[in-house]
Amino acid sequence: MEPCIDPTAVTQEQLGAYAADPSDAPPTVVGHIAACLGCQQEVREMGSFTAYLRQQLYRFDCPPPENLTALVAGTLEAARGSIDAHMLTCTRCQEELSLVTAALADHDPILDWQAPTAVSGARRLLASLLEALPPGIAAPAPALNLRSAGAGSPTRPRIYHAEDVTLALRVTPAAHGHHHLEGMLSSASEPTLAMAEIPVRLYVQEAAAPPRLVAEDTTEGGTFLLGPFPSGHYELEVHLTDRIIAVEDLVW
Amino acid sequence: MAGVHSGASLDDLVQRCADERAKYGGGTSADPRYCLEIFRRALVEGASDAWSAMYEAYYRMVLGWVKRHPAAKTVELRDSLEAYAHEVFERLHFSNRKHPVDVSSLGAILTYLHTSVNWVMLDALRQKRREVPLETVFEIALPDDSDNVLDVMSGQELWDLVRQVATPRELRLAHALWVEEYRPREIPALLPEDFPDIQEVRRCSANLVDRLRRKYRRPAQ
Repeated sequence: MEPCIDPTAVTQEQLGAYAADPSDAPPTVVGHIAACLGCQQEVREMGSFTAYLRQQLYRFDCPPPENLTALVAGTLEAARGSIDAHMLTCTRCQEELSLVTAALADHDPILDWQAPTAVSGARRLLASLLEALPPGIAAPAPALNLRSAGAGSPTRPRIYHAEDVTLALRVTPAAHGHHHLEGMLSSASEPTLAMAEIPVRLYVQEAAAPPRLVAEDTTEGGTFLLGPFPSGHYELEVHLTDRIIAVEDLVW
Repeated sequence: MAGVHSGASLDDLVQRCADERAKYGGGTSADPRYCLEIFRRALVEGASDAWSAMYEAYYRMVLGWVKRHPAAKTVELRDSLEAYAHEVFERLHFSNRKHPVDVSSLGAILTYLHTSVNWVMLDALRQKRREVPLETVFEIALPDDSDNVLDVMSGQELWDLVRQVATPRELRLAHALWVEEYRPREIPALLPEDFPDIQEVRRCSANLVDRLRRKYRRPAQ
């Protein structure tokens, strides 16, 4: 290594400061380094060493973004204690944590889209066919109250149940081998259901294709009449405000 | 629920997925199962056409999340925001190969994508902050093997060496300068009690670097 041409001209500290940021160095230091091969070499080595430290140490002990996100989301399972301790001293991580918090607070409603729904958060309930009405559920009188399609002999009504809602369905023969689907909706806990206009959708389930919407209507006086439709597999949805009552595998 | 549409053509699913997403966005009745089936084919079956369809369907949504992410507004990142949106899907692809993503509900998959945006954006922020000027890059060299014993070691090992020679005050400075990558002129605001001015920062860091170099230099052969 070349010796310094004037060891009293600059200190090691000044060389280190020059290596870190030469733009701030006093003119005397700049002048000496410009003339001294030994100090130029020393400055290069110090700069290289510092760059190496930065390269190897950069964020080495910071939790990965996945853990910071999990910490904010409340889903972090392991290493919670060590991350909390790290947060106390690392301002970069504190800053990133606040960014993640802001990002997660900017909630997109589409993330709530879990199931077929009329409004965000509505549940889809699969109605079950009842052999007998459970206690406390008001029995509708479908034979009397269902809207009549007026052709042929109707089949016996089938009663479906989902939570407190009862759905009576009846298939009525129509011309050309088609059928109507008649329905009546009631609820022991929500008598006003019969007064509301409730959206009703019927899908046909075709082979090798997703269910296709074939009819959409609203209830009137708690009843609806859809069709006529050809024989096939159908799926009915009744869209209440907070939930969807679905009847799958309707066949006629 | 996904199995309901397992026999449908991809084109049909794509159209119905778009229709249902539009309905959902409009606040009317919407069925997520068509979109879910596309994800299922892409992620579970590994169908490349379904993957392309999924990307086409959700790229804009992910890009919107990227654009709205606070990190995108904080600093000028290295790559375009479009590149980061693309990276979210790349991560989904590779993560799914290691740990299959939950495709039981559309909400779960979309939440995964939304979370991935955070990971990608924080990574981008960290990469941006570690960038050094081009002229400096050419000067970065691993310490000469003949001159020191540091060689190539892990960050933790190197930090343990720093701890051996640094005082607690110097250690706080070292962490701020080399681990957190603050610039020297930012230190007085960050650690005002330890380093009230930039001169003290320079003096202390130069001393520490000098001591580290001398301590870990190999003895002359």
